[in-house]
Amino acid sequence: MSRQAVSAQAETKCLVIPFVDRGLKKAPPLIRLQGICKSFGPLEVLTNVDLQVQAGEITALIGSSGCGKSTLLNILAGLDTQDHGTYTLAERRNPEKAGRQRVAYMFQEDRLLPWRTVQDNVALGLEAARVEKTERHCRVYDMLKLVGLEEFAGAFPYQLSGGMRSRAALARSLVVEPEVLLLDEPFSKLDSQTRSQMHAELLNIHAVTGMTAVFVTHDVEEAVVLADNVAVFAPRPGRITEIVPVELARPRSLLDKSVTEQIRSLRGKLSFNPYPAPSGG
Amino acid sequence: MKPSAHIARRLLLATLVLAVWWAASSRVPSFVLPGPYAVLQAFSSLLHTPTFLQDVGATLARVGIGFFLAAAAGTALGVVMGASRALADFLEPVVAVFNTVSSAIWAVFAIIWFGLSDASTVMVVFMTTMPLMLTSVWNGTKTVDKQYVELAKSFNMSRLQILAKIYVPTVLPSFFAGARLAFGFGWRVSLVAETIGASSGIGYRLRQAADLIQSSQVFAWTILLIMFMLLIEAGVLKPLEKALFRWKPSPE
Repeated sequence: MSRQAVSAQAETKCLVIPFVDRGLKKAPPLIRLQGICKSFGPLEVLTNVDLQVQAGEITALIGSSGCGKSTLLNILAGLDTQDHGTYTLAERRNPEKAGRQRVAYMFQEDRLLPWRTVQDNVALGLEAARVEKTERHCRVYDMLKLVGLEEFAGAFPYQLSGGMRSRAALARSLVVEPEVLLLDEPFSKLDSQTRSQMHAELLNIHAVTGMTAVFVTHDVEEAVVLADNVAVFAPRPGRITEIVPVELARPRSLLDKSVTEQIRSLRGKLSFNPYPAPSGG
Repeated sequence: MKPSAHIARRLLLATLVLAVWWAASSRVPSFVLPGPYAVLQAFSSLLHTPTFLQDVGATLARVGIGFFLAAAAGTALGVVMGASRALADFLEPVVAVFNTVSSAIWAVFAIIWFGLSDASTVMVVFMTTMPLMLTSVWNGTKTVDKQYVELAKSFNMSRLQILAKIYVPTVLPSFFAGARLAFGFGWRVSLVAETIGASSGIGYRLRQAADLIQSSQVFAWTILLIMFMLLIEAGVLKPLEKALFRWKPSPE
């Protein structure tokens, strides 16, 4: 190891360490779902769902509302359990660090606690794990820097814009250094400009940390811009009809022809598509 | 609003009140309405009465104890009723009954049960303020956001952590509003209780002054009480509220 790297590490008390080490792409999948079934009473919500997610990948779950994609996310989060099938989340990290969580959940609403400042909101997960105070501050500050909110550490949520609130919520999910980040339509309440800013933010963080993410969306553009793989859901009963890989270089611009073509072809695969692809095209 | 205009209005109001008071008092016998000067004299002699501090202290202690017990019991019951719907449904009529019974009735019962003692006043304060605290805290528990609880669960928080980090901060504003209301209420009913159920304290002195038709004394006590409450409001409650609820957007 070079001398420079060592001194840089000594200077900063805690660096943002990649959550998962890359170069393990050929390893067995981080998430493996096999034959997942889930019913609420007589209603069959998910039937025979298979899905594999490699470490470091971003996967989109897309489909019309009521197709069970949120239920699948809840199963991944451990907030719900499947009736049949197996869900394995590979144990790959050693050693365990305090306040680390295997999965983190980013909700549709930011759910910032109004009585807490931004930094105290971000620290919530570390407090829950009883991480010691100085380490907590250090990790919270690093995370705020990562999402560009370090100047607003002492602000209360009501003083923030929608995009900043969203970034604070993202920092709160990431500070527990999850192996998998689950996002349930996290940017759907933002205006389109702020939303694309958040997309860039998320991809930037993905590049820095190498995190694995699974997100639910009904926005085809969002899925194509962010994801490595798009799992297409069909409703009644909810099932995955196809897994579409998006093999385009990032950043993906909506002005790019290859991107728009992928968006159009994905729209064609969704049964709820209100704008069918022109026939013969 | 300009602060100078604000002060000018306040001064104008004070002058008007004094003028009307003075004009009215010069037309009626002094036992009906004593003039401002007579009241000022009574006020200064009141401050020099040897039993003055004892009386104020006795009343304060009774209100304090009654209020403290009511806050503790009311908060505990409010939380329990917030946690259990069945229990809340069961106890709701009791709360309603307690809220309708006049403090004068509690005072009469207090004398029957405890005679002329500190306990009488404490009981009256407790009985009238406890339902207020209970209702406030109970309403506060209803405002707890399920989404925040779900968030806490996604971080694997224990029940105790959820209570401390989600429930307590949510209920605190209601608790504070209830406590402010209850303290003001307790302070007023304590005087009613003391006029019939005590042999010391401010209420007792008021009753004495009334019996001897010393109207200026009654006025002096009244002014003292008003000043005391304003002092608590400006010196304790307002700063405390500001410090506790910094996170609330200030209303425009």
